[in-house]
Order: sequence, then structure tokens, then C-alpha cells
Amino acid sequence: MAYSCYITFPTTFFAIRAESLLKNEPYTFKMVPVPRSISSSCGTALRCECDDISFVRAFLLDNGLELEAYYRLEEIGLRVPTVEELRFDE
Amino acid sequence: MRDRLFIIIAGAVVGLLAVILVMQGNPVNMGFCIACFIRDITGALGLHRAGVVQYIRPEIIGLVIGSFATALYVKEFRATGGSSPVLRFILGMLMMAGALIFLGCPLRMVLRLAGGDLNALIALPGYVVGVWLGTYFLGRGYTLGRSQEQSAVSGYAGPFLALVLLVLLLAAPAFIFFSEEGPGAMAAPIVLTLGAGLLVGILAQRTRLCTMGAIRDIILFKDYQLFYGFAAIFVVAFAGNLVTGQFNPGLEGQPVAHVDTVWNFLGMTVVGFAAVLAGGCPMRQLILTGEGQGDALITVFGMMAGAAFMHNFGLAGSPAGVSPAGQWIVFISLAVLFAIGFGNIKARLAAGKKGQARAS
Repeated sequence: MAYSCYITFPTTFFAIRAESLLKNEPYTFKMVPVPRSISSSCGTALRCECDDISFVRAFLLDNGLELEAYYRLEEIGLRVPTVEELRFDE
Repeated sequence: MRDRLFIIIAGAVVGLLAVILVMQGNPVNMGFCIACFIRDITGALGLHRAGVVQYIRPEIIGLVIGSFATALYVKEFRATGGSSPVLRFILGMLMMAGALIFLGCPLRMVLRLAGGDLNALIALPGYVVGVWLGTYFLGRGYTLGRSQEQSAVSGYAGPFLALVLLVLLLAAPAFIFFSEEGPGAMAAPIVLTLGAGLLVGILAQRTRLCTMGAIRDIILFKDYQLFYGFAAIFVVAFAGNLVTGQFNPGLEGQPVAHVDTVWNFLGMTVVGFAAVLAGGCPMRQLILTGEGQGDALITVFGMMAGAAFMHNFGLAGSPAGVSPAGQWIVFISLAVLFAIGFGNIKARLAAGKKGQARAS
């Protein structure tokens, strides 16, 4: 299964900060436009390994970032991705 | 992969339709020009009296209605608004001011380039510089604040006004102005222009085609996904112009263009800067209007006010160049954009656990 996980941000400012903070961390990630299957907005999302998302989330929150939502997408070729919104216990 | 393919298709369709619309009567290199068409509508309503640029352009109507119908169908229509409306109105005015100095919005800049107008090659780096200036503020916490849910009727306002324009176009009452000469008198048949607008409205809603986002994402994150749409517009329009004999390379004598290098560059700098601060290029503002975003509709109203201001006071560029007063408007616009940028740096990092630990 081709799963990717995404973190969205309330403003581009937090996306920019997330990228600079994660540069020196051992996580595989890429900043991308929010996938169309998640939203019609034109914001930026952070795509990472689903195994890492809880660690990435904790790291960013620990560094004072505001995060908006979390998603897991199954993306296979040109098929419409299946989207699952992830919930984390505070 | 899927998003990338669809945005390339959307860009290609825009490029192809632009060539077809010119062949069918639109002004050369103006198959689509969001700023020019909004300016024409503003003139048709009598809000400016530049007699050669007055027409209710069906493309604009189609873009809004196409986006609206699609957003309703896929349940993405959401009536929102209330995010710094006054500043968005001003940003719309400035976006139009810059576009009327250059004589085209970013979409027309690409189409002018595809038609061989090398003045657009000077404007393109100006646009990139403008977007870069905007990203400087994004990186420092610039935000106009979150929009709020509004009543549904607020979201329907934009599509309703588009329908009113359609009725006015078809009924052509005496109080509506239609150019008898100049670019405003050059138009492809209504069925074709309305259909093209609807199709692009649908595609742009589905793919978020945005000329500003394309440059912004490259500058900020080296992500090229939105740029593929931007590039597809150019490639297909360029090929179409070559095939149909509409490619005419050069600086001088280009249609609805001037050769004032500095003002071509700076005009698009203003547009790019304003587009980042407003959250979308002129076309994207129309698509968001169709999705129910009152903030985008306010920006479009600002663009109409900007068009009226620029033409009523003789500030807009023309094939003869940019007047001294128009040149001043560029500097004033940049100063206002910096003021809006610095004045809205509001996003801050919270004191996270690490910060708290260091403080204790």
C-alpha cells in the first residue's frame, strides 16, 4: 500500500518554520501543496512517512508551531486517493 | 502524480482556449486576461469612461459560474469572509494598478510571451521579484487573519452578480457601455467566450491553477507542482500561436503593449507582491469567489475600483507608454504594499515545551 501522511498548517508562516526546523532532524519529509483530495485551499502541507508523523507532530509542537490537521492518504497512480483524517490524543 | 497531471491538463486547456479565442475575435495575446477583462466590465458599467475598453466579458462570468457550479457539485462551496476586507480591497486595487501599468495580468503575461511579445520577458522577472517580496513577509508571520463562516447568501453574492452581468450582456440596455473600437470592441462570440470561461472555471476549481502560487512554491519550498500548470499554459499557447501564424517575436509594435522596460518590470512586481499578500492571482480570486469566499469577492471589487481609478485619472499604461503620474502610482503601490506587509506580521511561534523548559 502507498500511504503518505500529511500535516497542514494554519498559515504559510508555520509551514516555512516547520521546514527549517526539520532540516536537521532525521525525518524524511517534503513541503508540498496541500493535496487536492484534502482541500481546495492553496496552502502548503508537510508530507512525511506515516511511521514518523506522531514524532514529527510532537517535535513541531514542542518548538511552538501551530498545526492544523493530520491526514493519511493512500495514493496509487491516478486513482482518487482515499483520505483518512488522523486524530491524536492531547 | 494525479494532482500534477490534472494541473498540466488544466494549463494546456487554458493555453489552447486562449489561442482559439484570439482566432475567433479576442484581441491578440488576450485570449484570457483577467485584469483586462475585469477592467472592460468596469468600463461597461460606466465606472470608467475609457471608450476603447468597455465590454462585459463573458469569460469572467464563466470563470465564476464554472467554479461555483463545480464547488457546489463536489460539496466544496463554503460561504466564508471577514479576513481583513478593507486591506483585501486595497490589495485588489493595487493588483489592478500594477496590471494596468504592464497592460496585463500574470496570465496575459504568459500569453504575451507565448505570442512572442518580449516585453513580457522583462515583466516575468518583475513578477518573480514581486512574489519574492511577498514571501519575505510570509516567512515573517504575515497573515490577514482567518476567515469566518458566513451566511450562505454571502457566498452566493459573487455568482449572483456574475449572473446579473450575463443578463446585462444579453439584454444590452442603453446604460451599459460597449466599445465600438479598440480592444473592447474585439471579442469572440459570446457562446464561445462564455463556454471557455465555464470550462476554465471548472478546471481551475479542481486544480487550483494559480500563477502566483506557482512562483511562491518554488521560492519557498522548491516545489514545482503548481508551476507545471503555469508552464503548460505557455507551451500550448506558444505551439498554438506557431501553428496558427500568430507568433510574432519582438519588442516593438506588440498588440496592447508598450516598450517601457522599467514599468513593464515594476508593474508586474506590484502585481506579484499584491497577489502574495492577497493569497492569489487575479484568476484565483475569481475561482475563490465562485467557491463562496467573500474575501476574494472583496478583492475583485478592489480590482474594479482600481481599474476605475487608473482609467479615470489617466494613470493606466497605453501603447504610448506609462505617464509620469502612472509611474508615481507604481512607487506609491509598492510603499502601500510594504506598509500592509509590515503591518500584518501577526503569526508567532508559541512558547513550546522546549521554550518553556529553557525559560524555567
